[in-house]
Amino acid sequence: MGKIIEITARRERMQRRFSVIIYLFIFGALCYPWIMVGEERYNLISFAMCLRTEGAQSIVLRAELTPDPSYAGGLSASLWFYLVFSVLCVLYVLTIALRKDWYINVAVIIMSVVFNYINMWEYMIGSVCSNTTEAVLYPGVLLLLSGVECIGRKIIEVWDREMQDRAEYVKKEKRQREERKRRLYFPGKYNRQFFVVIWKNFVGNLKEYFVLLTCNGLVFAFVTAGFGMQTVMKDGDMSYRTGYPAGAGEILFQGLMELGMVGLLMLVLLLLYYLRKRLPEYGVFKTLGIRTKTMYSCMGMELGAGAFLSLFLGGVLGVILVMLFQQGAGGEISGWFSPILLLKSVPVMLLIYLVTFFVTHDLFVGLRMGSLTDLQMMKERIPKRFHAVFVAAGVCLIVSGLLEYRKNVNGENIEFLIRCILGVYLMIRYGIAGYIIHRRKKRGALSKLLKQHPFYHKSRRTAWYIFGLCVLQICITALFAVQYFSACLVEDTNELFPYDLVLIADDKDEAFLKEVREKDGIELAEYPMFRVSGSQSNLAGIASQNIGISESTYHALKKARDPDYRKKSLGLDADGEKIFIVHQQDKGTEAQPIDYYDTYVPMETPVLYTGPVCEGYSPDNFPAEFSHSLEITSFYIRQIAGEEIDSLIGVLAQGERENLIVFSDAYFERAKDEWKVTHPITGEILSPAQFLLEGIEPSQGPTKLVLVKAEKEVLEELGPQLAKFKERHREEERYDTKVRNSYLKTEVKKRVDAELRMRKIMALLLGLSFFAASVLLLGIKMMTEKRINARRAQFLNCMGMKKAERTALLRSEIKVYYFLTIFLSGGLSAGLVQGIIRARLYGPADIESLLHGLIPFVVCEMAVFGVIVWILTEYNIRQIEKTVCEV
Amino acid sequence: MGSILRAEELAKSYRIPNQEEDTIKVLLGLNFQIEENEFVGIMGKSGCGKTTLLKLLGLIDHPTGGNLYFKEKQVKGLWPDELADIRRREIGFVFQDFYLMDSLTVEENIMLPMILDKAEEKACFQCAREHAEHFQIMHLLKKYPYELSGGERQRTAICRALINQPDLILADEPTGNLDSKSGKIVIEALDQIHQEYKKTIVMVTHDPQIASSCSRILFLKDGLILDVLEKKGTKESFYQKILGRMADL
Repeated sequence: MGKIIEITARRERMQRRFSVIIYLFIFGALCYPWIMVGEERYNLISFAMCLRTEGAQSIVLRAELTPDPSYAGGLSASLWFYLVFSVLCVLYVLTIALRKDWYINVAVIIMSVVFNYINMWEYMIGSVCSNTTEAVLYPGVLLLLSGVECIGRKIIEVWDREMQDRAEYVKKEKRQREERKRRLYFPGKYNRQFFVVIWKNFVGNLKEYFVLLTCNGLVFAFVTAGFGMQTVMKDGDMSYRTGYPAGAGEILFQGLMELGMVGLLMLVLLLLYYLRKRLPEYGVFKTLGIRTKTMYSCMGMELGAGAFLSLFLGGVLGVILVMLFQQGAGGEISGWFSPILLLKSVPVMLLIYLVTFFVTHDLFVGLRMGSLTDLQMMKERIPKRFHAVFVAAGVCLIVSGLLEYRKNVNGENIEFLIRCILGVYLMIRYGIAGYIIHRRKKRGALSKLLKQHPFYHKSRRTAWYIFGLCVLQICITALFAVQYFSACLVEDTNELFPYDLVLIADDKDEAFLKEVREKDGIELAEYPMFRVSGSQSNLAGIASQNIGISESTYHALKKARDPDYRKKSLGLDADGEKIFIVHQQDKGTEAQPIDYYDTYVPMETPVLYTGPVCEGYSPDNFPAEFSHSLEITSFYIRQIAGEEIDSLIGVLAQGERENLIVFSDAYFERAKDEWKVTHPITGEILSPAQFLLEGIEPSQGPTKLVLVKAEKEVLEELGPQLAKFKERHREEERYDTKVRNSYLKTEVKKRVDAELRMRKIMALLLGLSFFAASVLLLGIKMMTEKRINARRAQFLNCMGMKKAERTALLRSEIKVYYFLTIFLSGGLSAGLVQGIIRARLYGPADIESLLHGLIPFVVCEMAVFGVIVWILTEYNIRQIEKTVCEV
Repeated sequence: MGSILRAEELAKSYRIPNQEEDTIKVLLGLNFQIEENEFVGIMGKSGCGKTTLLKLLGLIDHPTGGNLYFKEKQVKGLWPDELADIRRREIGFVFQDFYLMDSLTVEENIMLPMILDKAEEKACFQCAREHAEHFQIMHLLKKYPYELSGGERQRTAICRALINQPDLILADEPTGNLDSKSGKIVIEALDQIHQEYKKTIVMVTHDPQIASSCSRILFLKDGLILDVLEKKGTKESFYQKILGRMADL
């Protein structure tokens, strides 16, 4: 108590000193000669004397103001105000001295505010001052000082209290620490036996630990391999050199993301299983009174050592994978990666560990897996109503998803795949429940009771397991297998590039083209063209730039590719509304629309503008006054009369850009000049002068499609001229680094080769990982249910059931898992493959080639999966039956 | 003689997963006291809260209501590590399914509480042997729990419970998994602990024959103490009284 009084007294003393110091400044300010009349300066007292002796009129005249009798009153009033202010200040200092809290300082502040307000009024002191700035600032200084005094006092009070609280908190902390030390005093060291016990306990679960470690290692190996391949590929992929993450790099990135996801799933599942197995053992230690810190240290060491070891092994395996990748590339890819890659991979892996830890923790706590008491109370309820409704909804989702997935314009969008998968879940969850409940109502249901028991009482868990297996199998058979075998459709990438050099030139390039034409060993073809720009062609929101050609040019290009080609009408109209699209991409690339609206919605009726990209204008940011132009004119909106996948001039940008847009000859003839004077928003034909009025300077844009066939040496000779050509078109290439004005076959081919190779490798890696995840998922199901199945077997044994009947019971459950998975995933995969075939516009020959590889693979995969399931089941049965024999 | 355990309105309830507001009330407010050197039995039908009560008394679980005092010290204010220290030094546990670690030998299992208490290695071995000899499992010390019979396992568990010389032994149906012969050996061992070592024993059991060894029996029904039966007279008459009371449960 005495201490508090002392602290309070000290605080008040400090406040008093602070107030007196500030008020000394205020008194100083009051004595300061701030009033300047003519050439003379006055403070408030001398000004009062002057007013008394000379009178207001004289002061006004000296201030070069028009005399007015009101000045006398105004100046006196001002002085009275200041007098009152001074008195208040004196009084306040007196109250401080007397240690009274009368809050006179608040009155002083109010007075200061009033001064600030009235000082410069007409007839007041401020109005006669010739030093206006000083006169304006003077009451401000008084206000500032009085304000500082008031706030300062409060700060001292708060600060002091804060310091007191802090001191008390520190003391309390210290007290608690001491108490903790006293109450938890536990001297000495654990003896050797402690470590023996911990080690033996750990070694007893080495099998599970090894599985966890292997999975960790594999995930890290994939991460390391991913980074390694990325570095290695930099030499082979043109897109890296341009600093653009695309092509093979993009495939690798996507693949790694998918691998990361499946890795995370596997790690979470395994960690959950591991903890579920290990925690009861640590529970013995806990019951027997192990210290919390000691127990967590043991667990941390166990998991930490595993993580470290898996990082090491995974790193080594990752390096081996990259070396194999290099070997497989046949020396084409010469880059090598440095050990620094491991340093890159470790943070990624640690991030995966962190996410795994949080997800596992949440699941463990959420499902109360650590508490046996609570777990026993958890009951899974089988859905008892609306089975047919949900199953029908599931079917509808699958059908609608498949119907959308098969459209080229939807670009094999994952959204539709998710829709199908959601449908599968509904079918599994409610289909199984409906079937079981239906069977239970039938006669002879009792004979099937034991078989249906796990599906009835663990309906949710069963549905999730089967669903998980289905998703993994669908990914293997319908995604990765198709990715691999469709990439195999491209047997020779030379076929994708009929010309050695493609130039997209304009009239200013005539001199260069003349040189090219005259050069020996060059076969050159020229066709008229113009740029056709989309609104936003890709998910990055960059408007596509394609090549607009006439129908005649299309036929000529076709003929050049295939001498046996027979001309047929494309059904295009003279208004340019109907177009024919040639998607210039390889067969392994997924379907993609020619144009997106906004960034995600693919356009069945693409918005295509004739001319180079008009930056800043897209359908969604049209000025409101022009918004009608989208609806009323056919200037942008096109109908797709037909489309195909082919490489008439070359796979220049994998169908994402540089596709051929074919217009009717009539429209092409009109549009090839017209677009240069067409308003980019309204579609109106304007004169160049009008364009300038609109603030738009039309650029010419490319007009000629030049296709060159030549030997490598001849093209090398053209190098300097080609460099100049590129320099001339640098500005056009600025908008999108992927769209160029010249494409050398050697360069683009290298990139496409890298993409195809990467696509195959990632498909294999992903397929293998997902297959491993399927096996793991089933394995974890068996391992987690082993104990309960063993108890059931023991019980049934006591009831007189034969071994053969017991094992048949276990086999029948797994059979349902396997066959339901195969049936559902097989069915949906078939639908998805058919959708992909439609979306990618494959011809009969392509379909035959694809299915030729795909069907045997899928059959083999399912058979291998079946064999592994059988092995796992038999192993599980043996383990369970062993416990029966022991009893 | 002071009380070793005292419960005031002791209650325990469990939250039902996925149903945040609903709880299962297992113990509804028990009041009792257990004195030093008492042999108390807890009886009742399945699901009446016997094991839950034993977990609370063993400081393994936390009560959700009321107060529990261990040696007149309120448990609620103790830190987890303090509870661990009490469990390690002052309470011995004997469980129905033994709770032995299969990866450790019988000897290691017995001396585990001493090991966790940072006792000297030599002392650990010596104490383990002494107890093993006392309960006639000396020849099993190097074996693993899965190589033993039920009775041998339970005697190992009893040795483990006694090794740190705790004041309180908690036994959860110690004969539940044993045949009658092994059960008899175990109950004789518990009797011996009570008589010779002067330990306080709290035992949950279903078996009236086993329960007749106790000096006092708490009958639980629907989370409440229905009755308390004191042992007066012979073991046989007490057994008859227990049988009579069990009929009311």
